Amino acid sequence: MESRICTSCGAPLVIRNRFSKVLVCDYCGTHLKIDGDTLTISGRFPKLAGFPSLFSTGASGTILGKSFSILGRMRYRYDGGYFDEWFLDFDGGNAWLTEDEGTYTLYSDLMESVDISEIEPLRAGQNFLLGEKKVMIKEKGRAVVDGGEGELYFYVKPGTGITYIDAVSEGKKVAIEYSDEEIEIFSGRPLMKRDIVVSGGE
Amino acid sequence: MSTGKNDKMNASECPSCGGNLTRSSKSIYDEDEEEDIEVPLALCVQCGAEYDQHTGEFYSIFADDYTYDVDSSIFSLGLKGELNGTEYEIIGHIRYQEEDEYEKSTWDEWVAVSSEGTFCYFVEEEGSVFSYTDYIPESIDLESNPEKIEFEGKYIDREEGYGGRLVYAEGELPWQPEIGEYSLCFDFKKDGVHYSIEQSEDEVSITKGERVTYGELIRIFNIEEYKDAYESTVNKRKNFRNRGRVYKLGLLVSILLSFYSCFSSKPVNGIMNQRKVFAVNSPMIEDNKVMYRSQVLYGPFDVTDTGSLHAIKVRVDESIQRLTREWQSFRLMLIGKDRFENRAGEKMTDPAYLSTLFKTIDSLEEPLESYTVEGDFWDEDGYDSDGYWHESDLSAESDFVIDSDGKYYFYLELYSQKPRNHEAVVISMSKVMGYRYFIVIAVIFLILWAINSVRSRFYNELPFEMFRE
Repeated sequence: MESRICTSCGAPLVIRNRFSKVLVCDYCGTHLKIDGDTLTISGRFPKLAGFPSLFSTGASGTILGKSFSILGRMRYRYDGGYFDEWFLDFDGGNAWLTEDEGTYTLYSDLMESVDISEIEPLRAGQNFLLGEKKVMIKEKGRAVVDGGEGELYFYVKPGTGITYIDAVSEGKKVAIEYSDEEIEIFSGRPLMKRDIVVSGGE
Repeated sequence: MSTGKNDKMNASECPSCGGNLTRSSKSIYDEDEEEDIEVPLALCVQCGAEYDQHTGEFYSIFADDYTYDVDSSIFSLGLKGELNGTEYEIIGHIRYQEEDEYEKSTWDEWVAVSSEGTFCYFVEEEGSVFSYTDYIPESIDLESNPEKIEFEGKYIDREEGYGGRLVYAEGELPWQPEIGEYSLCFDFKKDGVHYSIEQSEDEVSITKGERVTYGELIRIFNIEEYKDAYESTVNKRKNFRNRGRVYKLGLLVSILLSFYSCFSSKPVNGIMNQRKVFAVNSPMIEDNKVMYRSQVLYGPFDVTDTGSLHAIKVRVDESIQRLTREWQSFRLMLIGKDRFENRAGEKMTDPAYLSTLFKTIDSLEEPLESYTVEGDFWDEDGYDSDGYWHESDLSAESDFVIDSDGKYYFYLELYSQKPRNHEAVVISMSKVMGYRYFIVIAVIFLILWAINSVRSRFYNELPFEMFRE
């Protein structure tokens, strides 16, 4: 855990995850890029509206019996409404939990070594190779980043459009989020509410 | 989630010109019916573009034709219940129409959300309900093979897929529905489990399901209003089914008895052992044409089994003489020996008297015969547009019940257009069991079985369709 000062408002900040790329100041809402010891202002955005949720930044507990703590979240806006991605420190590693209309999916396996050359031609129902895995696209859509809070290790500036792909492979869900600057690929599994126990929070 | 009803989602504008669409129809040739049929289509009043049932525009005009019974369901929005340990609430409802059908052919999907953050889809079609939940397969390939799709090692023919068009939506749904949107569907079983794949332009849904009976649904969702009607329907169907089984058994027994009867006849022997020939090919004129008449008296022979059904068969024995491109009529009379002797007295052995007697037999005050059979034998052939044809009828049969046993004669008259050997006409008689009675009984059992079988499936006091539980 590292203590920092918000370069915009001077509020005290804490970085809990060494892989975090952006820190959102809880006081002034400024998005600060983490570049070694330096915090660079990326922009100042409105705080996220507090929709009812099991989770909150700083909360902790267990998922499927393994401990987690929530570092931050990003919210996306799409045709069907909003969905949140919670960034977790999960069982000693990074994970991301999608919350969409009360449904939960835990993505804990980061697929860092694979790349997708062209995402635009891909469409629902299509199979393609992701590394050595054969993946079938269940859904492809566009969303806009609505905002973020806490610590984020996948960051896209609010207002930026992304392409998201929900896919399946080898009995697992695969999520791909693609913007001009970033591509994140995780695999994971759906959760039931009973799989999640939230026991503490800040 | 989106909410709404049909009227909010209909967009009846021509995509080409923005003009209004209206109901229309056109005549097409139906290859199955082998005739022209009138099919509906949506027509742009501005540019004249036509949209058939394979387009979303068609359903923006015609969707309501497939939704008149949309409320006829066990489900309703807001129903809550516990399935497999998870509480669900019905929050949305959509209806699909099978795209290849002109008539109504729909299925309903009721969307239930659980407190656990999972969805369940209750699919209701033709009186059966399946509950489906999302499933993540180990492998799936919808595109690589042009003829089949692959699902966890199982290959399913693409031809088994069917297209559905959304024609109704209400409540909350996990996506934005659009009337007329297309889904390609595959329903199949693998290792005893039902699976469903629905592929639309934007999404592929993969679900795994099981059948849920209406009784289970009433219990799960605690639907009091249908409990009594359901119990009564199930009990009455069971009664109809049991009755049907009894009638089915009766049918089988009747069929077996009729088969047994067919193969248990007892021939009357010695019919043609003795004969008296009164005329052989005696020419006569009728309607200015020459005919030839033969008269033969066969018998006497013994007939027993009073009151039993007997069958007489008269046929042309072509091993003696062929019947080719000609006809021959016959009249056969069964005459009791006692009655015959009473009539003829001492002249029973006088051929001249007997010949005269039989010539005038039709004018006797008291009929001599007990039973008469008449008929024709014929043989024809020729050519028509299909080529050569040949038809013939060389036998006749009749049944009757013997009034009393004793000795009998057969008097046979033959008329032919050409001189023929009277010995080529053979008479036989046998006692038969009454298989026809058993067939009548079998038909009655069949009708009763069919009625009860249908009622055991379709009797229904519920306000919605329910297939066999």
